[in-house]
Amino acid sequence: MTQTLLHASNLAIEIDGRELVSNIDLTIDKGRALGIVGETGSGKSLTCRAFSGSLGSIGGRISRGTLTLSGKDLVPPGAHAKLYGRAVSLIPQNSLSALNPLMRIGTHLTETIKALNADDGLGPKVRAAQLLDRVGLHDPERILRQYPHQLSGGMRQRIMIALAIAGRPELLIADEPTTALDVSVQKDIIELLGRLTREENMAMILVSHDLGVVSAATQSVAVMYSGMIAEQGPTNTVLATPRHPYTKALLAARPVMGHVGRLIGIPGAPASPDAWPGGCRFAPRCRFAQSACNDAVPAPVTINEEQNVACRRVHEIAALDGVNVR
Amino acid sequence: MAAVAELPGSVSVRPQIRPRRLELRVGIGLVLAVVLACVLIPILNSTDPNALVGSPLQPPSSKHPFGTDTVGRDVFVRVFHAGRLDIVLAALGVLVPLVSGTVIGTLVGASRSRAVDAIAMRVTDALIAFPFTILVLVIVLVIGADTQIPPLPAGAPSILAAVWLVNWTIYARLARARTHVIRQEDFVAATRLLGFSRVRILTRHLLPSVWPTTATYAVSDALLLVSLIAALPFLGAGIQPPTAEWGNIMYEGRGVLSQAWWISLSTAGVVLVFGTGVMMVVDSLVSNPRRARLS
Amino acid sequence: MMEVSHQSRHGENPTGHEGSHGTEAPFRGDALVASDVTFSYGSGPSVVNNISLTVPQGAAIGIVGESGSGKTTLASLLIGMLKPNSGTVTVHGRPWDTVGRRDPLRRAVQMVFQNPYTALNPRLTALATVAEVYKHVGGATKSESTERARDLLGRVGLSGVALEKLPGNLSGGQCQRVGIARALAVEPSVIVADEPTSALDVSVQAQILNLLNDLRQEQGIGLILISHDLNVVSYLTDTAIVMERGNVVEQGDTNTLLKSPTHPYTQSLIDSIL
Repeated sequence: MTQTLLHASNLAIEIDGRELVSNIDLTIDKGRALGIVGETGSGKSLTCRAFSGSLGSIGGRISRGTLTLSGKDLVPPGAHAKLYGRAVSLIPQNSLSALNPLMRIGTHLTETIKALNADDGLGPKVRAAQLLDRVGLHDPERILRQYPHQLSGGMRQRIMIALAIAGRPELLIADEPTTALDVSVQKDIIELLGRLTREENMAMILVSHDLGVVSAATQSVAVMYSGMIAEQGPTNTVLATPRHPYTKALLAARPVMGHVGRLIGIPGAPASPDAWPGGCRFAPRCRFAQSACNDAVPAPVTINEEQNVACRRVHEIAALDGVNVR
Repeated sequence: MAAVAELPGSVSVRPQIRPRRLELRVGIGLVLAVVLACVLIPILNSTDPNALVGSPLQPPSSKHPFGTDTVGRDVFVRVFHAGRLDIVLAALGVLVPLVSGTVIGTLVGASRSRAVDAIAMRVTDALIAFPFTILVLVIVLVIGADTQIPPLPAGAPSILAAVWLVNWTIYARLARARTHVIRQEDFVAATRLLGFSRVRILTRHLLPSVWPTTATYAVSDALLLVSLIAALPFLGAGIQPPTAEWGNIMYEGRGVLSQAWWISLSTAGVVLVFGTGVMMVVDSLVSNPRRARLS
Repeated sequence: MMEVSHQSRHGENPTGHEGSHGTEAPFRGDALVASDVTFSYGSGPSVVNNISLTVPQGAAIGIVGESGSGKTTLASLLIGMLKPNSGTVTVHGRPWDTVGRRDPLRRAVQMVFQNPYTALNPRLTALATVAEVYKHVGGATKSESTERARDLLGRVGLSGVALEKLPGNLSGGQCQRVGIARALAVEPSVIVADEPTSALDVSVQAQILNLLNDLRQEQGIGLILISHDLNVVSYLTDTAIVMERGNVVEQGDTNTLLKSPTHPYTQSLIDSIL
């Protein structure tokens, strides 16, 4: 039986009075993984920060909407104080530079374990070795004594994961966990994250620009553009039959082995938040756009009871594909 | 189809560098206030700084806002005449080492020869290791305390000589370090691929990125220099009386500190305002609060 | 959709030679040939091990590998920025160590870098960056070089207000276009692109890949593409080599290599694509 762990409704985030993320409706259940896909300027990292409570350090705040974790309200600043590391944990984007180069791995782990009081009665050092084993690092005794620069990128990423799960969080947020890693290592890390979420019954949010990673690691996905969710639904469905023009364009822009002919990029670039249009934010670059698209921000339309698409023309566009959708 | 460039700019993940604006403005304001006072007051108030205007050790009054000193000169006028001298000396004392040190340091930093680097480093090490004040005193002794090169007053040439001889080393080290970092950048590699001449790479691609580092240091160095010049009279060197200079005004005033506190303290106050302004400017330029942007 | 417009290249030659096609007439033969090249940093293990590679004029070759494979070092050796410990790299027949700093042959091989921002001088605008090449290398006057720069940037898809912006105010894709224009300004015979799109968003990547492809097809400029991304390599290149720990484990026609690889390492790379 799945339980709702995190629920965001009509969430908006602002920094210095500028609204940068709007109308986020997301739900994550225990033991499930949600992918958030977006390019630069989509707001995906800000959304992660809102979920993990690290908006304060960049001067941001939740300006509208509700956000609850297992029923606890996360909107007020400081609500995360006791929860971080225990209820929700974040693997930040630049993991490789997030480790203190002057501190041994063992110290990183024991400090975190002590701070979270998470040694399970075994003592911090034993628990640290246990965690390393959990994330697939063998010979933990040796690794605990090493410094970050002595480890490969993949190993450091596993350390970051170990730090994040030390407090047995209910929700793990991984922000671009495989960027800057070799392809073979990426695959291993994704498998590790999948295994951990199943075994610990954690929920996971995986943010990535890489659709391949998202398809391998998540059951549902939300595609973000310019601070809003363009489309969300089961990962396989969204990637196989994208309904939002942006998702379609994004999928079509990737080079695929054996592809013949020119790649179709998306012309132009996302507007900066100061210049966001009043209506649909993707309209200026959308090949299906009509003048009515600029009147108002499109409300999400539910397709086939499982896909949510923020596009007024979704039925017409689907019809163009020769498909009938309800 | 609109070209990429004509659509509104995109949001990015690049960190933005923002000086702390208020601090910068207040700092500039303070510095300008002192500088303007030093420029205008001697013009508006025609009193000769060395003239005897009243009986000695008079407390501050409407006629003499900073009172009179040990021989009866107007302290207010003297302080701002002194300011002209001190600020000009500090500027000259910093400008020459800034330029020479930056150029030398960048050349050394850009050089691929280990020998050049080693020699330059040992020379600068030696000069930096030497106690600066003692070096100034030695040069003052050699050149002679009374030597003057008009329009500079007696004592000034030796100070400038000493500073120019030694101070360039600090700028050279800063420039060399910065150049080492910049020359690793891709855009410098690109200039080599394109076949740019060494001179062009130095002047157009290396130096422009080095100047901000050394110039920022120069501002605080100017302040250090003001303090140094003001301290020299206490060591028997420095600008010779009766020329008004912040240091020698304070030196003379210290003997009568209990009876006529206004002499030393009013001077110190002006120096303090100037110095605080300078440090605020430096601080606001150096610190870059980085904020994560939307990504 | 971005396209490089078909414009005559007459009078475009930055070095002032009047070639009949506007190209550098003296460059003949294979663009780059590496013969038995070995390199190691200091006294460490060799990063590039006895590699031989021929890049014919106009060819598009991919160098595939993960970190530690030596692909970036090989690229540096090919562009003459590093001197091999043994073996030689020749450019149009001449070994790199005979090519001086201002020799026209030095300019025959240009590079497009992975990080679009650090590849540009942060203090020069897009227009100034490209104009400088025409002025300093080509000897054009200030107004001539500005005109040519504007023209060239237009052909790579950058125009209008963006030309006067500094790299810090341009997007990643725009910066990469400036970098490409700068490389094109000296009319190279080969462009070495080191992960040119891995720092860019997917939609922008498509534009830049199309641009690189067009340059090759329309101007006959060779391309050496270094990438870990097999999809990109398959799109842009005709032949490819796969490197592992300094050695070439497989090479050949790109499509064949990816469809039916012979070496297990190549197979594992293909299997790792998610």
